[in-house]
Amino acid sequence: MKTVEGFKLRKVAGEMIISGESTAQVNFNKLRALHDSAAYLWQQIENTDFSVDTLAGLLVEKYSIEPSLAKEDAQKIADSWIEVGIVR
Amino acid sequence: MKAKLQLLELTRSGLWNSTPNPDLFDPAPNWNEILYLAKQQTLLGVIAPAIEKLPPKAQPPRATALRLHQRITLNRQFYTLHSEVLGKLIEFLKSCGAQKPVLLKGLGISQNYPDPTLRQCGDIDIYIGEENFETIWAKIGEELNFKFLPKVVHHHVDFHFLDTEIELHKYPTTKTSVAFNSTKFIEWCKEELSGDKLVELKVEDT
Repeated sequence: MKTVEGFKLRKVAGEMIISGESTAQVNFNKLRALHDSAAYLWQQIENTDFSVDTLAGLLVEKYSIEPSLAKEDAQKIADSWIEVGIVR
Repeated sequence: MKAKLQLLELTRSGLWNSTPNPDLFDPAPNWNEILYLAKQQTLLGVIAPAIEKLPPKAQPPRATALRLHQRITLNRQFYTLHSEVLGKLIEFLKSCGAQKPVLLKGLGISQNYPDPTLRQCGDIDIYIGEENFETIWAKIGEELNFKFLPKVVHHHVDFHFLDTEIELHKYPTTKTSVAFNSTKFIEWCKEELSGDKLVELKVEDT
């Protein structure tokens, strides 16, 4: 998987928000708020190739949680990103 | 009156990348009024980073902040579009005979902003000067299949290139302005906008 080019993560009113800033996203008029751990993951994998295992590994490293729980959370996060079209 | 002072403070902060005086925003300001004034002056992009530097209690409500963010995202999209078009436009103008097209105003000035993508630009302004203007303009019309060739109004002609509005300037400022009627100003423009004083910009054609 890879983040779609042009989507940027910014802090707005204390929240981490993703919005489409390139011309390819002129029809993407949504703002996507990310919770802390999802924002952390986005910062780590932006513009790189990654898998659910990559995300899970990052969660384990950052939050010292069980790998199985990390993989479950990573899968949910990746699915939600794919669903809204910010990751392919 | 207070909203105007607050807008000026945010503008200063946005332009000079400084922290706005929080005392001016205590008690919490009327954000609708400030943002209305900022929109009228095309300053929303300039003041957005300054707003982020205010203490949390002085910042706009969440819905207002998100609307502002959405608006300046549009600025960023325009900036990307204009940057993409600029490289192709310059090549096109050169192929039509304009030897040294000069980027004016919006996109040019935006390079001096702390975040160039936040400078609101509706079009691209290019100055090519009086010399051979009519010949170059006729060639542009021919290449872009104009049905007729619009005449210079004030200081420029308008046309569309790759879905972007272009202002092609024959004069640096309107002929009726006090500045243009100043011989010193005209000479200064000619000197600054031609010859050795021009700086070649490398355009990243993304």
